[in-house]
Amino acid sequence: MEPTAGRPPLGVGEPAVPSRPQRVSRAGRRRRPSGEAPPLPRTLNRSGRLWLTGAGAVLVLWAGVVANQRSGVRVLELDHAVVEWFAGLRTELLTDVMLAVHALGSRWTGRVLFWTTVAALVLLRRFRHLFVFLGATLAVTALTGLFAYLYVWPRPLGVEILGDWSGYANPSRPVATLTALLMGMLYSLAPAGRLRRLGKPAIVALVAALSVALVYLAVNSPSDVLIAIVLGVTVPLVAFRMITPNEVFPVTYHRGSSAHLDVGGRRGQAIHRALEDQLGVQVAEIKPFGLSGSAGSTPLRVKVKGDPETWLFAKLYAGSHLRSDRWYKLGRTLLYGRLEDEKPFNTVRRLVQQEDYALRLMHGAGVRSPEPFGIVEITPEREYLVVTEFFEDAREIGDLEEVDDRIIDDGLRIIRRLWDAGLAHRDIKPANLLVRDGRVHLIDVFFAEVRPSPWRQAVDLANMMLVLAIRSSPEQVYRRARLQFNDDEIAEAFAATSGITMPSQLRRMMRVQGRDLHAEFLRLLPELPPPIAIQRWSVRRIGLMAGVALGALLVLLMALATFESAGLL
Amino acid sequence: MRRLAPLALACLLLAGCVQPGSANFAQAREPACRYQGRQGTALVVLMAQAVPTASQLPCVELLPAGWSVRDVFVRNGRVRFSLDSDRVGINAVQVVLEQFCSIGPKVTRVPSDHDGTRRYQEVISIDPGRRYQGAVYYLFTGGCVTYRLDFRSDEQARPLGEVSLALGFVTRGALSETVADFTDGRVPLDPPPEAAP
Repeated sequence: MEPTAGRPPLGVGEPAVPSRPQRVSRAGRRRRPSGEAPPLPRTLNRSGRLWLTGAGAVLVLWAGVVANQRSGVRVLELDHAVVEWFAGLRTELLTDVMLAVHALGSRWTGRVLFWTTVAALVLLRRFRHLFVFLGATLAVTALTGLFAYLYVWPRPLGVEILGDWSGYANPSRPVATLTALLMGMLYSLAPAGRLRRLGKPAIVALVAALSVALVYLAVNSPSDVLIAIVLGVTVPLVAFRMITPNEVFPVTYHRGSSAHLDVGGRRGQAIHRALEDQLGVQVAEIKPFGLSGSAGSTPLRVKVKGDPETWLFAKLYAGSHLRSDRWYKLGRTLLYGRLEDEKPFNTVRRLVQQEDYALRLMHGAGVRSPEPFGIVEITPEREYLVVTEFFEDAREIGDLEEVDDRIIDDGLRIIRRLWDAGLAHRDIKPANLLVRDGRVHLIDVFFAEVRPSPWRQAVDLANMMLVLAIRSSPEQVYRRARLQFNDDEIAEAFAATSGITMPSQLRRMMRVQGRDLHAEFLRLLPELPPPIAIQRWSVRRIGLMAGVALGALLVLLMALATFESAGLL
Repeated sequence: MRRLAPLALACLLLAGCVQPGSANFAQAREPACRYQGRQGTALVVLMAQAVPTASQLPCVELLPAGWSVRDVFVRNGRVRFSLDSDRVGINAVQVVLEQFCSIGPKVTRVPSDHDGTRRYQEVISIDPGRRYQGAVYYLFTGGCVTYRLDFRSDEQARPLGEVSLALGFVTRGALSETVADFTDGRVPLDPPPEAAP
C-alpha cells in the first residue's frame, strides 16, 4: 500500500471543536490521612475472622495433641468414653434411624448436592461463585485427606462399628464434605438476608444429625467430627467472603451481566464518599448506566449537586475486570496469535491509569471524546473509578434514523485525527459513537493504543465506515471517505477487516438489517484488495497453546482425582 | 504480611509436629509389622478395625531394596495395599485382607511359613521369560489374606522369595497388647467379648 500521497483536505465539513461540558462545581477535596481505612476496605467480617483464627488455632493445637503420646491417649480415652456411652444407648430402632441418618454422609448424597449446585450455578451463569464452590470443595476434600494422613487417627476403639467407613477417622470425611457442600450452596445460591439466615440453622441441624449418627454408630469419635466441622465451615466461609464478598458479588436472582458490580449498599456509600473526598464533587445520585453496551466494566452515571445539577460518567473497575482482560487477551493470543502486541495489565491501578491516560491523549489530540476528571480510589489495588464528563442528550449513532454527510464527515475526521496522532481506538462500534448536536463523540477509549500497528489503524477506519453505513449507505460513506482518505487507504482498511475484527455489536446490527456492508464496500473499491491474514503463528503461540492444554489437563486430572477420592464423582 | 504471620506460624508448627520428611513419619504410615519396639502401626490398627474377625493382620516385615509400599486402601470389610518393585514392575504384589476369600480349584496347599495360617498357592499364567501371574492365599481364623502376584520379569523364584520375606503377619492378640501398651490399658482395641459380633 502506498502512503497517503498528499494530505487530504481536513476542512471537510465543520471543524472538530471539542464540545465543553457544563462546568462541574467542585468543593474542597480531602486527602486521606495515613492509617485511615480506604472508602471500601476489603474485610472478612467478624465471624469470618473468628472462624479463620479459631480454625487455625484448633488445627495447630490438634496437631500438637496428636503428636504428643500423652495428650493423644487422653483424647482417645475421652473419645472412647463418649462413644461407649452412645453405644450403651443402642436399640434396634435407634440403630435403624441412625443408619438412615448416616446416608447424609454417603457418597451419593455428596454427589447429588455437588452436581445440583454445579448445574444451578452454570444455569444461573454465576461462574465466579461456581469456581469458588469448586475450589472450596476441592480444598476441603484435599485438606481432609492430608490431615487424615498426618494424624493417622484410628476409628473408635473398643466399640463395635456399625456403619460403613473408609480410611483414617480424623477429620471425618463425610462430615467435612457435607458441611463444605452445604456451606457452598448457602453462600452461592442463597441471597444474603432472610434466606441465608434461615439456611444456617438448617445446616447446623443436618451436620449435627450426621455427627450424632456417626458417633452413635462408632464410625467416628467426637474429635473426628469436630475437626471436620472446623474445616468444612472455615474453608468455604473464608473463600466466599474473600473472593465473592456479598457487597461486591451479591447473590441475586435478577438478570444482569456478571461484569457489572453491585453499586448499592456499602459499595454505593463508598463510591459516594470517595467521589466527594477525592474529586470534591457533591454527589446527589449514582446509577448504573448503559450496562448493555459495556462488558468490561460497570458504567455509572453520577448526578452532581450544583446550580444547575450536572452529570458525570464513571466506570468502575475491579479485580474481576482485570482478570477478564487477562483471559480475553490470552484467548485472543491463542485464537489469532500476536495481533497487536497485547500485553495484559498487572494491576487494576495500571488498568485505570491506561484508560485515564488514553482519555487525556484523545482529548489532547483534538478527538471529540469525554473530558477526563481523574481516577477515584475505592479499595487500594482492587477497585477504582475512572471519571469523565457525561454527554447529556447524546444518542448512540445506531439509534439515529439517518446519518447525514455532516455526521459521516465528523466520524471519519475522528479516524483521521487518530491516525495523525499515532493512535488507534480499537473498539469502534455503534455503542462507542455518540451524536450530540450533529457532532460525533468517541467514548470508551480503554483499548486505545499509542503507535499501533498499521493493520489496527486500518481496521479502525473500516469499522467506522461500516458503523456510519448502517444508518446511511456504503456509497454515501465511501464518497465522503474519499475526501479524507485515498483509495489505497480505504482498500487497505477493508482488506484488513474480516468477521472477527468487527465488534460483535456491529456484526449483530448488520445481521439484523440483513446486509453485508463489508461486501458492499468491497464492490465499491476500484480494485479488490487481497485480504490481510489475521492468523499469526509463532513459537510463543504454539508453546502457549501446548502449555494451556497441558495445564488444563493437569488441573482437570487433579480435580477429578480429588473429587473421586471424596466420592463426589 | 501481618495477616500471613499466624498462617506461617501454623504451618511451621504443623510441620514441626509431624516432621513429614522423616523416615519414621513414613514408616508410621505403612503397614509395618514392628514400629518403635511395638507390634504394628496405626495403619495395622485400622486394618484390624476393618476386618474385626481377623486373628492375623498382614504387614511388612522388612522391605528388600527396590521394593516400596503404595496404594493403601482400608475400608470396613476390606484392606488392600500393593508392593512396587524396581525390577519386576509396579503393582507387583497386591495384598488383600478380607473375612472370606474364594479359592479356585487349581490351588495347591503348601506348608505355611507363618504360624496359625494355612497357605495355598496358585499359578494363574506364565509367559516364559516375560511375565508370571499367580496368587498366594493365607487362611486363618476369621480372615483370609491374598497375595496377587504379577511379576513382569524373566525371574520368578527370587522375587517370590523376597515377597515371602518382606510380608508377614501380626496377630490380633499382639496388636491388642500394642494398643493397651500405648494407652496404658485404658482403651482396648476390640469391644469386650460379650459385645463382639
